[in-house]
This record gives sequence, structure tokens and C-alpha cells, in this order.
Amino acid sequence: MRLTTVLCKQHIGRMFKYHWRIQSKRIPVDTKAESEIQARGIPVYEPNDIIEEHRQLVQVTTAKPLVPKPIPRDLTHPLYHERICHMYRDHNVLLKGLDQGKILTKTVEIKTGLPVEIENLLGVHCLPDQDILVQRCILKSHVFDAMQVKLPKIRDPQRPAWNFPRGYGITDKRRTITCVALPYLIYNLLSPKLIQLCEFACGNSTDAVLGRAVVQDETVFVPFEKDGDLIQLELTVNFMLNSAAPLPLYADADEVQGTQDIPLPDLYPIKHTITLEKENIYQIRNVFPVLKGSKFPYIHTAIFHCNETEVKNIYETPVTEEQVQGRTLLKSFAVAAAHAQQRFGVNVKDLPEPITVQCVQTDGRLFHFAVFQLNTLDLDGTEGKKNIFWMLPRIPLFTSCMYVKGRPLLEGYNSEVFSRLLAFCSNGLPS
Amino acid sequence: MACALIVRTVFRSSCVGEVMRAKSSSNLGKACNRMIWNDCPKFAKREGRIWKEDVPKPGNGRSFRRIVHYPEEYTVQPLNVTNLAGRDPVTGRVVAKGIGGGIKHKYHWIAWIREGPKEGEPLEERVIQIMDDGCRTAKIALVAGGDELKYILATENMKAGDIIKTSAHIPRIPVRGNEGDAYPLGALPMGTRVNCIERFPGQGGRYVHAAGTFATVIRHVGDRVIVQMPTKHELSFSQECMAVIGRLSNVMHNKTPIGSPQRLRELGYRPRSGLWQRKSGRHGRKIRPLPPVRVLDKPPPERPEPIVLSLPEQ
Repeated sequence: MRLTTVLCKQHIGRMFKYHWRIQSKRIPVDTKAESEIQARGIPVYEPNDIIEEHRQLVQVTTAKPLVPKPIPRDLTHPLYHERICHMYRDHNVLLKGLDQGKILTKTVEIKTGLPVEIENLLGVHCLPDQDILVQRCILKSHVFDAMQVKLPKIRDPQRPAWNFPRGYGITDKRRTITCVALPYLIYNLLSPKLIQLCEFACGNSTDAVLGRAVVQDETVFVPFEKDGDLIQLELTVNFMLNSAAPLPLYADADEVQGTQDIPLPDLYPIKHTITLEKENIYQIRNVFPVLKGSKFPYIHTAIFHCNETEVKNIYETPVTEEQVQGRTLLKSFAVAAAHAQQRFGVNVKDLPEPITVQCVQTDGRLFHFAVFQLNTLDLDGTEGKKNIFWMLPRIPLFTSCMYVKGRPLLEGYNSEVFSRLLAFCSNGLPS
Repeated sequence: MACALIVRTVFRSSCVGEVMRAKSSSNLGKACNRMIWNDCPKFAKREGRIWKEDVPKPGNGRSFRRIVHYPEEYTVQPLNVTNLAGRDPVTGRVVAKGIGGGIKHKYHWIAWIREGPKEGEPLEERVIQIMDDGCRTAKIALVAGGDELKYILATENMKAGDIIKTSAHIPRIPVRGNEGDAYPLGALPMGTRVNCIERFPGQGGRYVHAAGTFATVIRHVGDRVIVQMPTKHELSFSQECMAVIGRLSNVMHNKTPIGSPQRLRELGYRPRSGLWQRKSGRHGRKIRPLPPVRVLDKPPPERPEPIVLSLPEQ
């Protein structure tokens, strides 16, 4: 017995759906009705204005969240300014490197190499077993340190598809910190450790330890005007030795006057503020980490780190030698200028007495030694007195330091670097 | 897990009959479907999705290789991309065959619009660096002028330190420019090799981007300039369309064999069949006479957005 009848009907649901899919999209034809109606003075409304339900939103107050929401970085921000400020921070790199730095800070080099007085200090102080101590220090920071973290990916531009095994080990930041402890062998890790060593070396004179103070990882803020642009440097000093007496001047008044005739480099058609970060939200601050009235108010030596993973070009190509040198110049200028603004007042232009700073920039392997003399903070234009910069090219402390076939190996140790560091630290001590 | 879900949903429902049906194995699937639909609409099966959705056709200037995440303002910072492997990002269906895999490259945003002064001295900029860009065949040049940085396509002999000029002025006597200089087509003499030609004035360089290619200025007709493209087709542009002088870099690109199937994969292509395809046009075109000069006089009108009518489902 049949329970249902056969209707012989087609299932046309799909046909309807398909038809609707096509026909649901309509492109309106301009009938010119709107312009015609408007011409006759009849008001035209958008249909949605009439059809749509207009809802009034009621403000509801809720309990404040435990973590306050970050303030949106827009026009309503309390620190928003109409005027753009060009910021230079630790991760920034100057496009044209040293040349651009010279224009920004109105600085010239009067001779290549360091001042003669500092060159003469080479080898005056030394430690017994100095090189062995330094090599041990390098091995400790590059090989024996217990840090084991994931390191950045390695890429070979010749074989872009090759995936290297992911490395674990000591980060470049940690390496620099520990390696620069050599003077701290003159105080404890390489800037701390190397410096500690330097203080042992100068240990016969109590001034080396008692006459110095150390500042670590502090930030200096230096705002200044340059050719109508507002520029602020916000830079970290990783390690700074301060002394009770200022360093001597390495360029006398005649040489300073002579800088008027030395031209600054020409960047045309590039402007000197290129690659500085343009910001509307900022706070103008004058900060020098050592308080006024300190027993050790004078900057002696400043050490800056330059880590590959932190200091980058915005276009992600490797930082060049020129750019590293430019970074040393700007950092040493920032330290000296912050000190000058604290000592002589924020608006000081022509310094009553110049300020000298010794600077070292390092990535743990390459060391860049420089001396900076701040003569003027009047940075407008290219005429007038200029600041003076002495520097050496970067010197490697060693060629390689790593495990080779399971054994720690330090190759190509260069004793010159520590001697120079020692000369810097011992500057101003009775020999 | 699935059983637990079914049993729970079954016991919650008030209908005893359903419980009975759910127990018999033959009706399990049906009951399951229905219960999932009622209780967890998230897991609803997308019925007949093949013909419900519009899958775009390849072409029309859309790339199914990658999406570039552009920020609001122009930057020289290499941009992140999402690789699509030939798929339409909305439906997830394959649109362009043969794309997929390969090395993921960051995208360098090229400043296509070269703006220069209408009169007076041309704008000068300096080339900082010539770089490789994984997302295109020609090399790119990092250019600095004022306090701005930008990328342009590098020409054959461009090198770091070069000064490049840009001007929108059309003088009475044609300009003899250097490589990398951008001028309106009307300012260039006949026979000049150009690249990055604007389709319509002010829209930014659009034609001739590939490595080693160039177009040639053939003749000036009134206020229009006729240019022979790398395909040998002739196009007639407005004389105000900007073009960059010179042949694009990486000239050996089309003469360099890919080398190995693995290298092809590195470039982001999937394996090819190797079959002789008579009709697909893959193995060369038939030689035909060139089409007449195509005149690009005004941009095509924008197609109005269709109004989508919706019928609420019952």
C-alpha cells in the first residue's frame, strides 16, 4: 500500500536562491529625478534619514578599571603640541652618520686621532698580568656567562631560503654590559669590569677610587633649537665616571677661535634633521643625571653601548661605520650639553669655559674612542665658534670569542684597546 | 565527546520522540545535525557554499599573491605582508593557480608619485642606497631630499650618491635628462627611454615596472605623446603624465635561468605540470599585427557600487 503520492515536482528552491543571488544586487540607474525635483524646489531627503530609528544613547558610568586605559595619542593628549619636535633616541641612527652629526652639533675635527696629551698617557699605567685579566674578562662575558636565551634569527643574503638552526646563548646587550666591565675590573661587569681593572691599575693613587663617582644607565635630556627646528636628544649613558676636578682642555682659545674658519660638511639636498623622529606629543626637559652640588660634578669618561638588535636603520639595512661614529658624536654632545645646561643655566649659548668629555662607544667587540670639547651651544647657522671632536676609527678588542668544537676560544686579542681605556680612565691622575 | 554533546542536548529537549530517534543508529546523523543547529548555531554547516559565494576572477589589477598592510602615512620601513597563495581572502577559494610558498619578504612601499615644481628649478634629491626588494624584480633606490626618505625604482646605471631631478614644467625645448630624473612626457625628446609612466596625470607611475624594461617616446602629436611600451604596443598619453628617464635595473633578469625546481619554489611558485598546452597561451602567442594606437584620454568612470538587497531568512 502506498502511503504517499508521487507529486513529480521539481525542487526549485535552489533555482530561486540562485536567481535571488543575481537579482539582489542592483546598480541604480541615474534617472535625473533628483535634480529635476530639486529644480522645482521640492526638498529631497535621504531615505535612511527618515526610515532609520534614531536612538538616544544614555551615558552609563562604570567603575574605573584597575589598570587605567592608555591615553589616546592624538590631538587631545595633554602633551600634544602644535610645533613638531625632532627626537633623537637610543635606537635612532643618523642617515648621513658623522657628517650629519657634525652639522647638528656644529662640530669640527681639527686633527685626525686623539689629542696628543691623551696619546702620551698610553702605557703610563698598567696592571700586572693585565692582558691575562682582560682576556679572562672577555671570555667571561662572551662564553662563560650562564645566560641561555633564544637569539635573533640568522639570515644569509646569499642563501635567503636557508634556515639556520636557532641559536641559544648570550644576548648582545648582556655581552656589552659584561664585557665593558673591563674598566670596572676597573668597577664589576666589561664597562663595569674593564673599568674595575683600570682602577686596580691606578690603585697606587687613592684618587682613582676616592676621587671618582660612577653613574650607570641614566638618561640625559637635551632640548635645543637649530635653524628654527626644535630638537630634543633623549639618550642613555650606560656608564659614566665623574670626577671632582674637570678634565683639562685639549684645544686652547686660539684653536677654538680657529674653528670659525673650518667649514661644516655640506649635505645638500638633504636636511640635517632627516631620520630624526618627528613628534607632536613630547615633553621638553633638561635632565642631567648628576645633581647640582654633587662632590663629583665633572664628567670624566662616558661609555655608551651600541647593540645591533637595538640600534637600527628605519629601512632595516645594517648600520654603517659612519653612522656609529655619528652616534658617538651625538651621545657625547648630549652628555656635555646637559652638563653645561645644568652648570651655566638652560639658556646658555657661549660657554664661559669649555667642557671636555672622553667617550667610548662599544658593542663589546669594537671600541670607538673619542674626545669631545663643547665650546658653544649656539648651534644656529654654520658661522662662528664651533665644538671640537677628536676620534679614532673603531678598534676591535678581539676577532672572535666563542666555543669551537666544544672549547672556549679567544682569537686575535688586541691589547691596544685596554691600554687606551686605561689611558682614558687614568687621565687626570698623578702618574 | 560528540556522544556526550548529543546526549546532553537530547536530554534537555522536551520531546521524548527525539530521544528515541537519537538512540537508533540510522537516525543519529540527522538528529545530531538538527540539535547542533538549534543549540549551537556556531557549528551550523554552511549549506551549499560553493554556489552561494562570489569568487573573484583573476586579473583586473588585483593581486592574489599577498596583502600588504599599509600604514596611514608613507614610510620607508619595510611593511608586513600576508601571503595568500593565490586565494581570495574573503572566500578562501583558489583564484590564481600555481602560487604558494616561498620566502616571505617584507614589502618596500614605493613612492609612485613624483611631484615636482610647475616652473623654475627642478627639485633635487640624492640616492642613498640601491637595494634588492624580494617582492619585485627590479632593484629599488632609497632616496633622500629635505628631511624625507622614500623608495623609487632604480634605473640601470643608478648608484648611491647620484642626484636625481624632478620637474613638472614642460619647456619649449625638450629636456635632455639623466637617468632617474622625472619629467612630464611632453618635456622629453623623441627616442627617450622611460619607465614608471603615469596613466593619467597625477595618478603615480603605473606602466613599466619590471626589471630591465623600458618604453620609448615615439612622437608628439598636439598635446599628446605616443609611447611604445615593452610589448611594442603604442599608447597615447597626455603630455603632463610624468615618466622617469632610463631603463630599469636588473637588466639580466629575463636572461637568468631560474635554475632548479627548488629555486622556483623559493620564488613562491608551485610545481608546474610540464604538459604541452596548445591552447592556454602559455607556450607563446601567435604573431599578429599590432593593434592601433590606444588613446588614454580620461580615466574610466567609476562603476557605481551595487545596492545589495537582503531578504531576512525565515
